[in-house]
Amino acid sequence: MAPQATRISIVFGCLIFAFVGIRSVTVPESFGKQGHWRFTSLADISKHEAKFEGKQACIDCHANNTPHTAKGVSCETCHGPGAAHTKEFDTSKVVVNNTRAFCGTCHAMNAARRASFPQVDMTDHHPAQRCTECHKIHPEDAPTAAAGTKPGTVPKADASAKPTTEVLSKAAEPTKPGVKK
Amino acid sequence: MTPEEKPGENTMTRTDFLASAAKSAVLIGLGAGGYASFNSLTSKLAKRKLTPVRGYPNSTWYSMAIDITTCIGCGKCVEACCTENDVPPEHFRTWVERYVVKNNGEVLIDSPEGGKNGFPDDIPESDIAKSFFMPKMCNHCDESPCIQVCPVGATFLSPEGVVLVDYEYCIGCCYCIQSCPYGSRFWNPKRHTADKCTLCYHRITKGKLPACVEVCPVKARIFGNLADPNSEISKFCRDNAVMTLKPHLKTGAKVFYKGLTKEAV
Repeated sequence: MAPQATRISIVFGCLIFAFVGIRSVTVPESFGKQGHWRFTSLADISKHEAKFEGKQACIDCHANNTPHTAKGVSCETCHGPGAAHTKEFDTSKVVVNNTRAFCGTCHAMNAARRASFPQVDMTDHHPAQRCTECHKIHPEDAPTAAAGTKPGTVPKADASAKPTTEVLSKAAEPTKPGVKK
Repeated sequence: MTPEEKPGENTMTRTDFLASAAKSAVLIGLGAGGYASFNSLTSKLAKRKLTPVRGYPNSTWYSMAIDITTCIGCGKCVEACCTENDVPPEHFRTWVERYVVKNNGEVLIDSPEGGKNGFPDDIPESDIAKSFFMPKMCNHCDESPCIQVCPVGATFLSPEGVVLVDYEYCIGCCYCIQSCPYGSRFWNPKRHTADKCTLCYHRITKGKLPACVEVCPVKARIFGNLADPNSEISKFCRDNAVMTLKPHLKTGAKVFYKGLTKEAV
């Protein structure tokens, strides 16, 4: 073989070796298992912790007979994420916001809102009062599980239930960020 | 007629006869051929069986349907999404737009803070011909442009039909953000990667609903498995006239909208 051919063969050989070597080190093992992507990333993405727990977790401890839940509204729609509360229900409380503006998020009159949805003119309809003074959102403010027990361990219809006053007492102050006053 | 010819006598020459015979043969042939082909076509149509026109690659093929006619624009979905997924401020994985079609034909679209805090009622009702809210999000396309352009395979279609971003593998070149025809992707300044709706992959794989579906007070968002004919989303798409956004781009978008109008397609 001519010397120039030998030299170029060696150079190309080194380049190919380097490419294969670098590739085997840098490309993750699960890459290409299901396609042109890293299969283990599915597990990574699943690791993210849920902040909204779902309606069932609320129903396990609390009464579920509000006019809203009857229409299929989730508790966390108004009360915000509840996953932390299900774990540390003594220290971590859900948001209770009964300002007019908060009710208005859904019920304020808006031309773009469908007519079949109940809306009020917020400037005209008892402007000085809080909505909840007349509209009882929680007719029975009593949890069905005894306070201080783990969620789901107590039968639903426990008569010795303690009212959730500590939660509702925070109601006067809007605690939800981003809600217009 | 010459005097020698008697009436009724055949005056046709041999040439004329052969020419006419050839013409007739061609016409008969054409007629027979046409009839045969028509017959075979109609019999084929009659014999044709109902065949499935579309299938799903896996038995789990998640997607969402959005009912524009129901949405009240409260923005709870946007708020929940941002909270659930730690979306950086001023960025949105899902957002709500308000469309206002005025009497003079002018179409106005706005989405203040992604609709997170609702919408003002600032346009007099007398000026409005039509107005509606339209929640938007990643369409989790079957043939998604973002997957096609990613140079490192950091975005992919999961076995459940969800378009996801591999945050560890993304090099942050932003090609996918440019390629998305729906504007559903954004640059996450915290992660330094592209980011988008995951259909709450961390929730749906644990049997929970996506956060936006969970909090929607009017059931304007329907989540489910398209491959299961008895799922809520399959029933919704069967019972209603639904359409995807920008179907002419053939992205295989699979977020189905009910009540989509000319202004919003």
